[in-house]
Amino acid sequence: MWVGIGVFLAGGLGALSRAGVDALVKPWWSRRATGPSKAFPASTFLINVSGAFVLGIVTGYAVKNVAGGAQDFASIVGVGFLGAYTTFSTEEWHSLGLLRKNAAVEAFNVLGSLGASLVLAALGLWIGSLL
Amino acid sequence: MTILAIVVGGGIGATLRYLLGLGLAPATPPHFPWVTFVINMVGAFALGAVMTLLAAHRLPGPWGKPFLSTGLIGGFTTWSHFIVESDQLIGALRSGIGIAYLVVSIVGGVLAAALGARLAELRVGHPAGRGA
Repeated sequence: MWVGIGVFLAGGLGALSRAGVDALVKPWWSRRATGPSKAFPASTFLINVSGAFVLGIVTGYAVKNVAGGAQDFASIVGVGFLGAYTTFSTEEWHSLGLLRKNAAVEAFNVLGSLGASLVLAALGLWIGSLL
Repeated sequence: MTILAIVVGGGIGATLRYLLGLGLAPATPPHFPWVTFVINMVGAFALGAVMTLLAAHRLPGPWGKPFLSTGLIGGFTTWSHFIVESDQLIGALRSGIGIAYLVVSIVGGVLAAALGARLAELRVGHPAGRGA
């Protein structure tokens, strides 16, 4: 029950943090980017890659430390905060829009997001297993 | 009000995902992570529909976007678990399942978003703007 309430609060904070990063990065990127790179969803990319890295650390730690405290921590911070901070649906929505407008940017977006997330999450899993 | 809508929406989305994960199956490798997969497909479909309805002004904009899109659906779906589960499958020498999970999720997610957008377009009667 208490873990569920923790997940609710952490999920709310995660979604709010995503909105905060969006509010900072979107205007910055549209000022800086030129040409086709303007269409690249830099904010969602940063959010998803950073969240995957930190969830790697949390998961690596929780796999090694099977005590209840570590599992509750993984539920609240991992499932709650990081799960809500990162977003699959928005990434796919951007992909759909880019496929219709700019396939080259979409290829970079999907391969870059997957590649950077997979490598950094693997690094995070390793770091977390050392904690 | 916008901040409250995001926090409540995100909290509900994350809690639903947590309860589904508890109730259905532990997402432990080496099995295909069905729970996260279904959550992400449902969410991509729903976001396609919601964004289309918002663009056509068929949902109340002031709370529709922060509560439904940024909060509820954004908090329900998860990129980070999708990635970590894929890494765990590959690390557990289940690369075939891991790569299949990656490909089916990405392709399925785009198709689900397109289907949601298309159904919403049919509902509103005309193609809506598609700004991401």
